[in-house]
Amino acid sequence: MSSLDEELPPKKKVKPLKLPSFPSREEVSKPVSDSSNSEIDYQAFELKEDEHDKEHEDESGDESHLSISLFQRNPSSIGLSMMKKMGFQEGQSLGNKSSEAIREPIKVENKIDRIGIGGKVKHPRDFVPVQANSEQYRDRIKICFQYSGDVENYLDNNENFDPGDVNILWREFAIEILEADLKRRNNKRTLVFDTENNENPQQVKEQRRLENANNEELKDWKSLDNSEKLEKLLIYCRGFNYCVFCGCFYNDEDDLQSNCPGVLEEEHEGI
Amino acid sequence: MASNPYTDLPPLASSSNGSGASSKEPFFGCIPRKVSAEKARAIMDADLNPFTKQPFTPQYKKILQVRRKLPVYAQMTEFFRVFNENQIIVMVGETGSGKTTQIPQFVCYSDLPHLRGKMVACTQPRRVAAMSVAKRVADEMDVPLGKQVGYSIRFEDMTESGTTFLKYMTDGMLLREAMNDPDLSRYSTVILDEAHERTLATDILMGLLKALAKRRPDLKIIVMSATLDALKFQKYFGLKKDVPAPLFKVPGRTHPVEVFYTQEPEPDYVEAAIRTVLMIHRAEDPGDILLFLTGEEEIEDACRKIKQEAEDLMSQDPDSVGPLVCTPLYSSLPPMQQQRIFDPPPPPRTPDGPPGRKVVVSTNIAETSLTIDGIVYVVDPGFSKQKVYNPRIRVESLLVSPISKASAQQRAGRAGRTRPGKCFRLYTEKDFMKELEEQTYPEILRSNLANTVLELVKLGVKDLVKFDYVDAPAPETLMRALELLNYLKALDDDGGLTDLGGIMAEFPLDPQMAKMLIVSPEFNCSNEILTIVAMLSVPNVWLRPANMRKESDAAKQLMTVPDGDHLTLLNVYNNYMNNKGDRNWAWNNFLSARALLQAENVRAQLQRSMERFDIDIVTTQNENKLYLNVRQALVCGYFMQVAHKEGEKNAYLTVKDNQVVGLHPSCGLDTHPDWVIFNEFVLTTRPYIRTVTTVKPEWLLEYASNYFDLSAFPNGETKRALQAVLKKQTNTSVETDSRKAKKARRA
Repeated sequence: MSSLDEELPPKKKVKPLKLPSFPSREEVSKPVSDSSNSEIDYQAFELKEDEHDKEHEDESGDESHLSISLFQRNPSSIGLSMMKKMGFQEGQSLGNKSSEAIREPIKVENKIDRIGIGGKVKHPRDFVPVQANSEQYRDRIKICFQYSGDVENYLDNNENFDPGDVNILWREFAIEILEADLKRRNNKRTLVFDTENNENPQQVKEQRRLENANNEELKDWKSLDNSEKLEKLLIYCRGFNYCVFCGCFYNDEDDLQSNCPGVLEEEHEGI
Repeated sequence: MASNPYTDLPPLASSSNGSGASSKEPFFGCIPRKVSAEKARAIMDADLNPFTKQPFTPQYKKILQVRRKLPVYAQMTEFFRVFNENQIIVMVGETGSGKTTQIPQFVCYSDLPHLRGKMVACTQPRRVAAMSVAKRVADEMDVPLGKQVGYSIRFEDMTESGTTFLKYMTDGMLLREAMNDPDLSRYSTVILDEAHERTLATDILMGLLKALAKRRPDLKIIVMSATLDALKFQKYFGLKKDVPAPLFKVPGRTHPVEVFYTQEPEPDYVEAAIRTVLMIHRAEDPGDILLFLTGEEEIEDACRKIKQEAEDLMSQDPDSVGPLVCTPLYSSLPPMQQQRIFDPPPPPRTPDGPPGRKVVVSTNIAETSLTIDGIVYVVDPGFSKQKVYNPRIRVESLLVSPISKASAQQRAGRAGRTRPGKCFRLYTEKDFMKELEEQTYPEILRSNLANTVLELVKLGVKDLVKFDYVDAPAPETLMRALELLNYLKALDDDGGLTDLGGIMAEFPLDPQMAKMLIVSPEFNCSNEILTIVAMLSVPNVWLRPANMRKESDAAKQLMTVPDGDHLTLLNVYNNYMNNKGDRNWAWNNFLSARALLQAENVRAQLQRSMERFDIDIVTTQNENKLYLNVRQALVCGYFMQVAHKEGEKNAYLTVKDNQVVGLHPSCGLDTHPDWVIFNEFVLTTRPYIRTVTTVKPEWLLEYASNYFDLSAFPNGETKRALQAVLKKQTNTSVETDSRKAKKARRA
């Protein structure tokens, strides 16, 4: 985490004049009630801990809804009373051979990544998706990669382009492009079930460059989920008065504050 | 359709019409259910069609040759014996054994339903299967589809009363028929096919049939399954305790399948799947590939990538890599395009060149119910989209989740249909053992049961708690269903069916929709609600081609009614009807002509049902007033699907469940109104509500006073807002009252 923060701001200077310091992960995820800082709760989409919640107490938050039986939460339900008239007792299951039947609703996680079976899934939660859509995320990153000027460095000077120099925010994307390029130039590829691995020297060289870029810093970065990455990206961009969703640079912070509808994507919807 | 299919009994077949028929009657001397396989085979091999009394066509004989090669055909003698001797049979036959097409025909040859004014029903979980199998079997029996052999699916009845004696139908349709004829008296034999899929309707039918078997000892029941876990069904249908129902088993025509696992879990299963397909294409012997993915978007995306990469491969190495055709398969694909999976693989580019290969990228449709010849390689990432219902937040959604071991085995089996095959599992063997459940959960454990409970009550099942479920659902799910039906006034407080509930059950619609349709004349807008219901019952009408997003969004904008998506649907349909003359209208407006035509058909069907129950079709002339009325009628059905705006952003809380949701990006509302009703709760990257219309809180309090009874309402912002509305209402009414009183005093 810390190495990630120290690396920023990036070495390549581009259009933005002033570069923001990167808030640490802890700060980012902390819920804030101050609306001037509303960008911080982007994508978290959990109810803010404000005065409302105290009033919801018995019905608040997603988690409680999922873990407490309706019979406890809603003992006066007409549905339950109808079932009782049919002979149901709380704690029992339905059917005439009750021993085998389920007593609790089946739980299924909402999978929104593409990690294979047995792969590590972070934050498994029922019905509480928190990650940004990966397509969306990629599009944003692409835009920023282009605006940053890194993409020109890459295109102008392909041979000496070092992906390790690319801003961590879009380094993954740069590496992806390089890798795709490498793939295209070389039809031999490593396959899941294939142990053969013939490489030519040019390939080895490029591979090494890629490996260099694949350092600890990137690993840390990759350990974040898309929403966290997107969050950092958004905050970074707003630091130089660019809003990803408006798609334009504002003159200054005031201009941004008064003319951009907000940090969240849905605040830009329908505009 | 003019006659009522529930009351018309089919007339006796021609054999009873006069003397001298015996010489022309191939079944002469046959006693129903005592016909031997030899006799049946002799009739099949003869020249006269016993059902039409016409000579068999050459096409019939040609198909018969093919039928004789089916595994089921080889066991005809045994089947006739088991069928004739037992009331209930459990049958296991792997996909491709011929059970779905042959067994119902065999049954007809022994049961002779056409001579007794009865029918044989064969249920299918999928509409498409019911239609396509009926077509195939009509061909095999040398009769026109819709005559002796027909099908019946929701909103489409392709049978002829009195003529049809073999009826393929969705399991849901048979359940609906049972509501008006609980003894299924029209049927002599009921075959439940694909029982292993454990659809909601099949599960309920199993419960009903088990009870019915005692009331009707003359009813024969066959439960057919494609997987080997038949013991559960045998036990369930054992007529005596501890004596399981007899099993009739047809070995599949399968070859061994070698299974490969990955060494490590895959970081991206789609990417891994694509790589695996290309690896097979480059390195493996000829044979087609079946790749299982989860949904339309993922499948189309993978197809694009596979095509691209395969082209690259071929252009780089034309001497060793052959052409590759990649075909998607999912249920929302138009039928014509679904047929493309049966196309042969592409030929080699040059006579001596490397052979071509076909890749089918499919949802789990191809897992059991559909057989594609030529598949030798299966790529299985281990996921499918599965429905899941959570009664605690009242959300039913389709979620991508790991498949079961049984499912994985079924998938692997698809590789061994033509010759020995290979299955590549994109997970480790350890995870196969550890992470996957044994069996897929039956749908009854994963569904909202509101509809089913209403059907069961209508069927006369009084005790839903002790009902003999094959697998009993979660108690909380039943509670939610009863609660909803009680709030909709379909069930009384004791669980008894109300008159309204009785009519609601007659409509093949969700209870909320049925309710709204039935009460809509009170709001002078049943004409419009009927349209909206039809539009909500068909697939998405909006087209949004990838390269024309802007244009299609602009077209949609033109149709949008800012007060609500329901009104927009109404507007689309009315415009569609006004432009019926223009064949390109739908396409020019980025709308699906197929879905709109379907909506037109559904609307006509529902209109007939409404007429049957004397529900008037009325409308309001003034458009503003009309829209207001429509929105109020919507509330009468969907008052339990209301969300209240929370704070300033696009964040809503669902009423009583307090789920944070946003308006779906497809939503056409131009503002973020305080109160909305929604048709659907969808979970993608975050929870959304889709098809949304703005409503007034006063309507909620007025038309759903039970549900919005504030004394029993959970505390929170929503309650406060409703209390404020109520207070304002009382104040105004007090004011008007006092004004009236003053007036009265003055007078």
